[in-house]
Amino acid sequence: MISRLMILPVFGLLMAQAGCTDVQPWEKQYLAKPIMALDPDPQERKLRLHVYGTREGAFGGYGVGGGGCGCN
Amino acid sequence: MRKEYLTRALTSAALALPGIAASLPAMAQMAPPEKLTVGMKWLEYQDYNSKNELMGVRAPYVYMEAPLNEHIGIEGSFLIDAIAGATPMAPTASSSSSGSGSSTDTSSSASGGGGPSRSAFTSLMSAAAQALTTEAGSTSSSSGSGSTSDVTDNRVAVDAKGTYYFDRAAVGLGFAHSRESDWQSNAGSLDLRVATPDNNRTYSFGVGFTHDAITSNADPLLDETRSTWEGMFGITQVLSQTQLIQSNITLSYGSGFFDDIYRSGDVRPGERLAGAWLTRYRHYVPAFDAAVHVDYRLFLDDWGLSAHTAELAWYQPIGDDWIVRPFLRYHSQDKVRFYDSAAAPTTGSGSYTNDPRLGSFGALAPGIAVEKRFEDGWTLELHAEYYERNANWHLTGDGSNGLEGLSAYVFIMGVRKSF
Repeated sequence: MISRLMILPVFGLLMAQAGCTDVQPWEKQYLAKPIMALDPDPQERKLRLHVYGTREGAFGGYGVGGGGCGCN
Repeated sequence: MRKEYLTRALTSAALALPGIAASLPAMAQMAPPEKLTVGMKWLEYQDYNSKNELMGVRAPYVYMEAPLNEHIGIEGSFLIDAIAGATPMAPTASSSSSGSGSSTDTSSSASGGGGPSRSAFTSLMSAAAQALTTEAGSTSSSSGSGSTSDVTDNRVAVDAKGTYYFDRAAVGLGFAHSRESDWQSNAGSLDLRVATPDNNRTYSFGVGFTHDAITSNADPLLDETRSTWEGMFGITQVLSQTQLIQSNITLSYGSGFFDDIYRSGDVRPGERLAGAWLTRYRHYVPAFDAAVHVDYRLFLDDWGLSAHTAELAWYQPIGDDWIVRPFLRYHSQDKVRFYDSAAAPTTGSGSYTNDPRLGSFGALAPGIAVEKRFEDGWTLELHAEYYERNANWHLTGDGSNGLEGLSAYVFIMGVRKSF
């Protein structure tokens, strides 16, 4: 398990290399659109993850501290 | 010095443009919400197997967010999860016909009634939840080769979070509480976000702790606990004027009681170490004034379960007031080491489960969501989704033999108002 998880930190190196473009504030009009939000509707996501969580074995990734449930 | 001044001036001017400062959740929203927003959503869920209509869930969900001052924002939500319907009973070697017991695929491990003593608050909330269920209590019946058990259960969940915003950072403190007849959970979290001076990259850190108290409506002597620690690290990066990516790693370690108390013979390890790597990519398409969302999550744990989950969505504004979003989600997972679809453990000792949620399968979920905004701050939302789980849809076609398929409909209706 530990060895499998060791692949995860690789993402940090990949992300560190990702910032290849220097976008200025006045060039962010597209990024600022609501449809470009990483999480446009957190409440809907919460409900959907609850549904998936009762049907699947995987969980997590979207944050911490959501609390437990007898359904999974 | 002059260059720095010029950059700041241009930055300030840019942020003053309509639509830029108001919506930077895509990067780091380092300011409290501008307005008080109150909303309600209603979840309707119903699943089926090849023989029966199974569990149904009605879940009204109320939420709010508000600024307290220029540095502090608060948010909170309240949910009642009312579950009712039939669940197939486990094909156990020592099968029980008790309605409060075994199931192969229940969305709740509990049935209505019984349980530990309740506070006035919980009793009030349970009464409200009962009003949402079509029936109360538990009965069992047989139909053909498969017997089912009718169950009801209610869950009440509340959460609250406060966030303090600095110039380029934010610290959030959250709390969550969830209670049902045989389960009580309390969770706390602390998160930190820090943006680089150019706001093109944000680092996120988070820690969380959850304590669960587990009892059983079928076994009054059962009194167990589980504790789970979580840690999260993430980076959000602007890639270009039209591209954004975020990658988060969450590790969790749980210790305590993991068995499914209503599944005969179910014995699971007392610890679980899990990791989830979530990557979210956003790409604006100027030609259509639309956005493509691609999410991928890799999940691994020390029970042997590994899973790939991907979702593709297209956000299409129509005019100024409508947004239409078709989406497709795919999930594939490999079973835990101790999963066996057989009715009883085939090995003499050690862990065992026949819980299909821990088996190997694939699942597809296409859907569509529509949002309509009104001039006076009201927004109406509708979400329709079909979910189907099938052992043959496993990524490599290597699904668990004997794992029963499942289909479900998910509807979410919502309304919110900003003041």
